[in-house]
Amino acid sequence: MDSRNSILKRIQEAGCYSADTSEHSSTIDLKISESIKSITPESKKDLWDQFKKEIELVAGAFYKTENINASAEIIIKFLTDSKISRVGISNEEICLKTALKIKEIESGLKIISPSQFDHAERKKEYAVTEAAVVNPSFAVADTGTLVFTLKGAGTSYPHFLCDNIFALIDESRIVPNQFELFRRLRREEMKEMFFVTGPSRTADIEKVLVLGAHGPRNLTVLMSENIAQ
Amino acid sequence: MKSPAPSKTKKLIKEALGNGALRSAVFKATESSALSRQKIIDQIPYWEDLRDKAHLIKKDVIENLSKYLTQFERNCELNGIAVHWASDSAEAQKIILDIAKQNNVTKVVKSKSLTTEEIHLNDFLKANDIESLETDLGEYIVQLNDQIPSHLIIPAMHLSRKDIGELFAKKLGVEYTEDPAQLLLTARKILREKFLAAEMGITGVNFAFAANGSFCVVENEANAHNTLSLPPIHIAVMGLEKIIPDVSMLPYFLKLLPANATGQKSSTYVNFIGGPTGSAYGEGPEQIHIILLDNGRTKILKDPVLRESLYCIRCGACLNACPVYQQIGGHAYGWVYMGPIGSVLIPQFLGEKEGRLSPFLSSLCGACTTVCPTKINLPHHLLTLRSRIVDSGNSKFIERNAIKIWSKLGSNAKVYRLMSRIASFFQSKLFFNSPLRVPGYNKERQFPLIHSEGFRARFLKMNGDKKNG
Ligand code: SF4
Repeated sequence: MDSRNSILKRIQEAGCYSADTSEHSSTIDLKISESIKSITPESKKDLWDQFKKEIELVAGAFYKTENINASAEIIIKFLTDSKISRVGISNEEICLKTALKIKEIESGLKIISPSQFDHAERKKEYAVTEAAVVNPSFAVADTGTLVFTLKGAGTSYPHFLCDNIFALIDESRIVPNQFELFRRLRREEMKEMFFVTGPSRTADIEKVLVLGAHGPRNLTVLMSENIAQ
Repeated sequence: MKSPAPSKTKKLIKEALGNGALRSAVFKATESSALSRQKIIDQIPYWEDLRDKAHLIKKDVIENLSKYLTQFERNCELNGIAVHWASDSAEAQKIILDIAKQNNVTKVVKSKSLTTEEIHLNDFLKANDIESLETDLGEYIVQLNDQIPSHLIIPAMHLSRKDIGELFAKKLGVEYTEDPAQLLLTARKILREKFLAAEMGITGVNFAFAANGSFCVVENEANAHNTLSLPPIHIAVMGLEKIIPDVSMLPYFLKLLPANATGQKSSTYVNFIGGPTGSAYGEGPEQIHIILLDNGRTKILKDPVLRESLYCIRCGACLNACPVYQQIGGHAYGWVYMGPIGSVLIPQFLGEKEGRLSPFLSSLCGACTTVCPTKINLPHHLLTLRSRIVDSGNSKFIERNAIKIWSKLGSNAKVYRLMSRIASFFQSKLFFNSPLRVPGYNKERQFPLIHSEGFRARFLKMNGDKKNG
């Protein structure tokens, strides 16, 4: 008998039984959802306030901007101050638009986009690029989390290999918590996605927190009321 | 790599107790982890309900394991993930080696995974001329130091920044520094190159989802994501119990795990993997393999009560809460799992003979159970295992026989009375009425004095006094 079948046989022989716990489970769910309801802000503005508070607690930065022009200006200021000359972007249209806007003002900047390179080249290029502009699909208010689907981003190299991340997001993309998030995501999207809550970090040495472990050191969220405009 | 055996636990405990620096490092780290955990829990009013829910989900999974595993297997295959089943360490090692050989792999990067520690993967790959490098900072440190992790979540908890500075200077040839940021920078530079050059990435699995054939890896450093996305081949090694029915149940666990593990509301990264992404996005692995590892889990499943130990999500909170772990640290347990959950798993995984001492490394105070996110009744399981170890003849000879004699004498009132008089007589004559020390403890731990009158006489007297009063 191969291992698969012998493992399954051993499981069956273990004689497990399944008591019906669905009623108990629904009671707990009800309690949880009532409790969540009682602490969840109702308006979009309050949800974004909660998101801002949470992301700042995990060393992220948050700005509300009017449109992508305003976001581009914040990014340019950072790039100039930090003498950064390469900006990586992910696949979403808004990232390309912002990159073009940035280049319009700072023509010396080099834009690195995923479609320019094959796999081997792509990872090398992003690994030497210090800043990236990305576009999360959702922001989760109660934890300060950004949600990226691979279908949308088409790449995850800028998000992880570049040191300074600018995440552009529309005001409408806020959800109160992960329970709601999973109701909003499509089943296919759930298979290939990643959640990001702050810059990468470690506290492996005497529990001293250090940012920028193997991923970004800085994460700035730029939220606009109408990002498409 | 040093991998001490649990049967040597006594010697290891002595060493740990004699190491002041280790004790203070472990004590400080566990205290601060417990405090940050509490801060997060205070903000989640439905914390206890979450624990109840997680317990029920895990119960359902463990009681219906074959159903969920076969569903997972089917859906993985539909997603293009190759599923392998391994009965034990040797089989899992062979599967990994075969994949590596077929693809001419010589360089592997790994992210923290206790399951791969369980199968001694690094040593095995090294013996087969494959470089296998840990990329989580703590794991990288313990690998450099030729050790195994001393904590489920903070692998290098037992080392001070001075120890790590000296280690880096010696092994990596860099200038000595105690600054954690500088130490990280050194590791980051080396590992970035390794990520880019690796031909295969190996991770564990935090949760796998039966209904859609995908899985997730939770982390803070971004090393797991780099391990998953940069090399062209990915292998995930997963204990059979890591499955949950559906990805929509994940939010319960994504609240419980980071709060308990690291005192965070959310871990920095949660990576979801649902198939080879190479062809669709021009990056990411072209091959994904998942190994479903038994290695003793189906043996644990046989016991209707102890199978609860498979509900563990390896959050490490029971270690931080345990007064015994706080004193001796993780290496004293002698295996990859330590603390209260280690004490429960060791005799079940390695057998009652090898793990005969492990369930006794507990004061049975119950702190572990009160923090456990899936409500595993750890003290109860420790007691069950203690009695099993005694029943199987694996307890100490003196202890076993002393208890036997005691139960014989204690079950006959006349003999018991006589023996207590004799014992009291000898105590007063031979030991000048000083109490006897409890063997194996410090000198303050003493047996109470044997009363010269005996319990029965004192009881009758007390009762008489009451009546007269
Ligand atoms: S037994 Fe419970 S508390 Fe201990 S590591 Fe496992 S899940 Fe966490």
